[in-house]
Amino acid sequence: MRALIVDDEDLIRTSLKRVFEMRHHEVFVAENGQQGLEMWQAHDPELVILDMLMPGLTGAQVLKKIGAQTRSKVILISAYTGEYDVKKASELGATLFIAKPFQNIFDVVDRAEKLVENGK
Amino acid sequence: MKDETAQGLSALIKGKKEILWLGSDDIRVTAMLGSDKNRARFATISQFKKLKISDEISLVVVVPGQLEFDKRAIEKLKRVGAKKILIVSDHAPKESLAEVLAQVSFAKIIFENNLRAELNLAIEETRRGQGPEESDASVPRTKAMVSFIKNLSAALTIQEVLKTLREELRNFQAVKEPLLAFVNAQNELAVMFFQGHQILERKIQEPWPQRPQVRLNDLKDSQYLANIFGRPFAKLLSIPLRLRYLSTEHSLKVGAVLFFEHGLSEIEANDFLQSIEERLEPLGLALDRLLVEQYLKDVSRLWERTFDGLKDPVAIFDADSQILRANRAFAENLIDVRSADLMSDKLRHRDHDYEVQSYPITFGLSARPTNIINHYVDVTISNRLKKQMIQNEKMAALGHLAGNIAHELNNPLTGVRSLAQILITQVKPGTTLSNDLTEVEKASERCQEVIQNLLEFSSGGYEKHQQYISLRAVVQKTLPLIKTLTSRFEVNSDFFSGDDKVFVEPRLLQHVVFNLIKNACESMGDKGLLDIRTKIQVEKMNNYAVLSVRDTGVGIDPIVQKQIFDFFYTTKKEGQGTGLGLSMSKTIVERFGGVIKLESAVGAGSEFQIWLPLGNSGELPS
Ligand SMILES: Nc1ncnc2c1ncn2[C@@H]1O[C@H](COP(=O)(O)OP(=O)(O)OP(=O)(O)O)[C@@H](O)[C@H]1O
Ligand SMILES: [Mg+2]
Repeated sequence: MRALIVDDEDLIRTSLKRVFEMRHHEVFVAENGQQGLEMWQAHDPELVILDMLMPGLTGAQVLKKIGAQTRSKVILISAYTGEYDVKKASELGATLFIAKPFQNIFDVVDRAEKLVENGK
Repeated sequence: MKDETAQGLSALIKGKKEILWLGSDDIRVTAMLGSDKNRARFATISQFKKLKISDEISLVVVVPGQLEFDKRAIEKLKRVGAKKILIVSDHAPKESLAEVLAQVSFAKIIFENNLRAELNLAIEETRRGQGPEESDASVPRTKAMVSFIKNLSAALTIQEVLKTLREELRNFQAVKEPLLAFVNAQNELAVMFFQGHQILERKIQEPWPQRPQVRLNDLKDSQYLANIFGRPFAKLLSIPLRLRYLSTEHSLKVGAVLFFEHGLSEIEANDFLQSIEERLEPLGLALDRLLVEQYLKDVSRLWERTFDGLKDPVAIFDADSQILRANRAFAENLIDVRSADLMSDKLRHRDHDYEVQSYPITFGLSARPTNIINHYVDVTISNRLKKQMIQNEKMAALGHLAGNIAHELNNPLTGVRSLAQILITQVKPGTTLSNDLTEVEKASERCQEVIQNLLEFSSGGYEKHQQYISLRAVVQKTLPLIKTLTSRFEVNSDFFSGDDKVFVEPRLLQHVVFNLIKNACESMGDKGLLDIRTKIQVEKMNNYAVLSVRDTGVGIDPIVQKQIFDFFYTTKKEGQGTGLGLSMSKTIVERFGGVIKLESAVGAGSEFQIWLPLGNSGELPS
């Protein structure tokens, strides 16, 4: 699959990218919202992992700009579990919400794969 | 002297100190008076020279025996106030005495067997004031009046005034005891009347129908009293008393009305009226005085009650800061405070905080206050609330801060941990490198947990939202925080291990758990069994996650059980309990759609249960 990772935290981008590549997926990374938006439009990924809190465009704003035009599955990740809860995530148009910190990065990727798999 | 005579005399002389029995020796007097002799006033003829006017003698019975009773003796008796002298003798007087007796009517020889009749007559005469000559009689009459006034002014109650009046009028046998209608200190119409020896007071509903005026045998007056007493009143004399006290305010129009039930003819009634008329003024004065006294007493009692009824301490000081008066709250709470502290504007005493409000009072034109009233406003509770609010704000700020820090840390930490997890899969297991990476992974996990705990129970921004959380998890996270409380006791715990997620604010629920356990521990003193368990219960088709906290403490009285959920209700010592624990807990639990249940018996312990509706897990349906 083609996956887009949008997160301002370098280490998270790196580690997610590693695991996806280990599983032979094509990975694009963006380090802020604006860049993420552009790459999303350019590559039409099947999966987008989107951090909520980023400088510039936030995850929510990116989602809003993309609007209904995307077919991509979206996983929101955030440390502010309370503010961006499940309900809010689905309202925003995301499919899944995963709280930071992750317990296990492989689990995160497993869930992402399943999401795309089921959606087909 | 025969016994019957003695008995007949006995009724006549009973209590009559104004009769002096004068004898040569007491043998004959004893013979005459029988056992009453000791109660009669007796003097020998040689002693009588010592008599004084203040002895208030009006009638003298002389039993001269063998001795001379002469003109000089008669003169002397007249001077000390005797109005009538009866000389009991069986033989004619000596010539010198006979001469005197012929000229005066107030001294008279009588025969012993006539004694009763003569004495009776003489008593009547002296009482009516029919003395020998007018000038002579006025002395004892004035004296009688003076003693009436004296008695009135010594009277402490209206009852005593009435008794004095009855005593004064007791010679009018056709007149019954007086009745007094008056306006009492509560401004109500009342009537006072004799019943046997007692004097009773009765409130009257019916307004006084007539103009204040002296009336004899007035039908309306009789009807009025008949209505009040439920019996007929035949002949009635009504005499208004003009009092200054409240005299125009009330329907009575005058302060009081005297009623006499009587059997007098019209002429006799006028005589009676005359004799009572001069007594009306002192009577009025006495009543005035007593009613005003009573009124002032009532007013000051009311004031005192008001003063004492105030919850806050209040004290009145003079210009030198000496306490003049203080109310009960003051006496109970502040009596042992140094006077310098009493005059400051803030005061802390026995765990209570007071704000002092001072009100200076000036009398007249003086610029300096003569008195100061200090009101000690008890601000303990409002201070406590204020502190609580400040505390809440601090916690909120801290929570906010913690939220920000946590986010800043969580991001890199997630990266570190994830990367460690990846690297571990890429190195050979069991090598030093693999072990080190595992350490890094574990350390970052611990960091995450610390941050997570910090976030969950500080009142940070995001936790103001309800979330699905396991009841068991909340309880288990709370227990370590209160180890110092529970360590004295044996603790049993049993937690339901399946899905027990409830939709709550974790931090608030933790407060509830904390309060219940704290109360349980506080009820048990030094040892006991604390039982904490969670379970799932079904009630009316609904599933609940239930937490039960049971103690073997003192238990709660059924009456008290109704109050323990009230705000500020506490049985704990001042400064030890706020009385907010349970009331807050109840509010919180109800906010989450739950209830608190209580079972308790004095001496056996208590069990508090919180029932929270079982929720769903926090995943989006896929
Ligand atoms: N487990 C218990 N056993 C016996 N009495 C209890 C128990 N729990 C509560 N009470 C009674 O209920 C009262 C009110 O409790 P609440 O928790 O509201 O206030 P508090 O404990 O007195 O004060 P604070 O909670 O501030 O310490 C207590 O003072 C106590 O008398
Ligand atoms: Mg308590």
